[in-house]
Amino acid sequence: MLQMVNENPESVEVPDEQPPVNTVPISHVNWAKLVERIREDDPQGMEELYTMFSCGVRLYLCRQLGVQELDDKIHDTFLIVINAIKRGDLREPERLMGFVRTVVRRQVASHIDQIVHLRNNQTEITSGIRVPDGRQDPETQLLDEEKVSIMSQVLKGISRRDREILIRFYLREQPQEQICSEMHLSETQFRLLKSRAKARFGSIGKKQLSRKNLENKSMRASASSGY
Amino acid sequence: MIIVANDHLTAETIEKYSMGKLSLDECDNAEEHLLVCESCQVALEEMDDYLIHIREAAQRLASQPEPDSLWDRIRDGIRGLSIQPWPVVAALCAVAALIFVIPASRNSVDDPPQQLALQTSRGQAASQTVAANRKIDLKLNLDGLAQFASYRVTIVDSNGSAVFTTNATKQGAELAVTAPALKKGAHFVRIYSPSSELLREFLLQVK
Repeated sequence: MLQMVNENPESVEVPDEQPPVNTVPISHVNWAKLVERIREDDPQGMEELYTMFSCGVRLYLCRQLGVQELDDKIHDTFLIVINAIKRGDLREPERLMGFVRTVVRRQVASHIDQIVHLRNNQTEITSGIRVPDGRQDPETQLLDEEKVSIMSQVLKGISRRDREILIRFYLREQPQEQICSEMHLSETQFRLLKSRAKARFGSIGKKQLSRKNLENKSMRASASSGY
Repeated sequence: MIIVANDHLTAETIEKYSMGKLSLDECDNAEEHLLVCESCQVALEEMDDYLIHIREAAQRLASQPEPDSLWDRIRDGIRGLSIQPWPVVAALCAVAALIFVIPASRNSVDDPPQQLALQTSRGQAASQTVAANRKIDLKLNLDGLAQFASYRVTIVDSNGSAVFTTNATKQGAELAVTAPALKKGAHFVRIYSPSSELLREFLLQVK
């Protein structure tokens, strides 16, 4: 079960800068009732299940397997979940979230297994090796390059010591405890440094984006005035 | 570790999940929550994006040798002492002002005038030097000049523009004139007869 904790501003960190999304708080969802409706073949119940889980399942599958055949995989996952509920395989309806997670994980594992088998059993008819181009499209590449440059700006704008802390954590993936002890930092100082860097990245990014929008607008205006 | 607060994953949890650093149990809980919470899904996507770019930027910076700047060392030193940096910076500025600005402003026009006697001599005489921005009490030698009861004294700058003119009465064998503070550069002190005839000129270096 999820650990629900009461508000305590000193010990609890709320995810910062989250966009407002219209969702019912998870703690208010009646899972047993939803499962009951699916068991009774209620189409609205199934729709509700799909609406609640589709984004999450999509994100999970996309992070693990990439975007290829993503819609098919999501469809398969929901079929498995709904059939299992109808068969009565879900004995604890309040554990629906955990059940869906298990099904999605199995889907990922089975997909990877399938790929491995295919690689072992199939032989390419055409001679030579086909190497896929792993690069992103030019637009995404440009966007990424801009973000990296913003991040470099942020890193160059902070002190050498702060920069070293971030490099140790994000690049070298040293544990927080080790960094704090070696750099004489408290846990709060460490957390503050990280969140400030992230906020700075966000604010510079927004500024550059709004400046670009203005430039684009003025370019469009000058182009249209030329006609 | 607290992974959910106020119905959402904490920022630390999202970061650790994105970096693959959650324990198995924590990961199970976080994934269950992520399956249904759109707000945390967005936060996770942002974190994934942020991590990719900070790693790339850090990689590039780490591969470049950086100069050890003085300001970095001062700032790091201040942080090491757990002192708020801005009051310290303000104090450093005040000390710098005491050292550099105040002595420089000592040559003010309110200070007592500097004494200078300008005399003619045979051969190539060295020019006289006075401090800028400070009044000058000039004693101008009249030896060998036509005698008048009073003379006109003019100071011109290196461009020939008059910066000061006064009438001075003869006192013995010399003229006593209090000139205002002059700017840096070469100046010429000229003595004219009452009929505006140039009688003598002295070179004055103001530094």
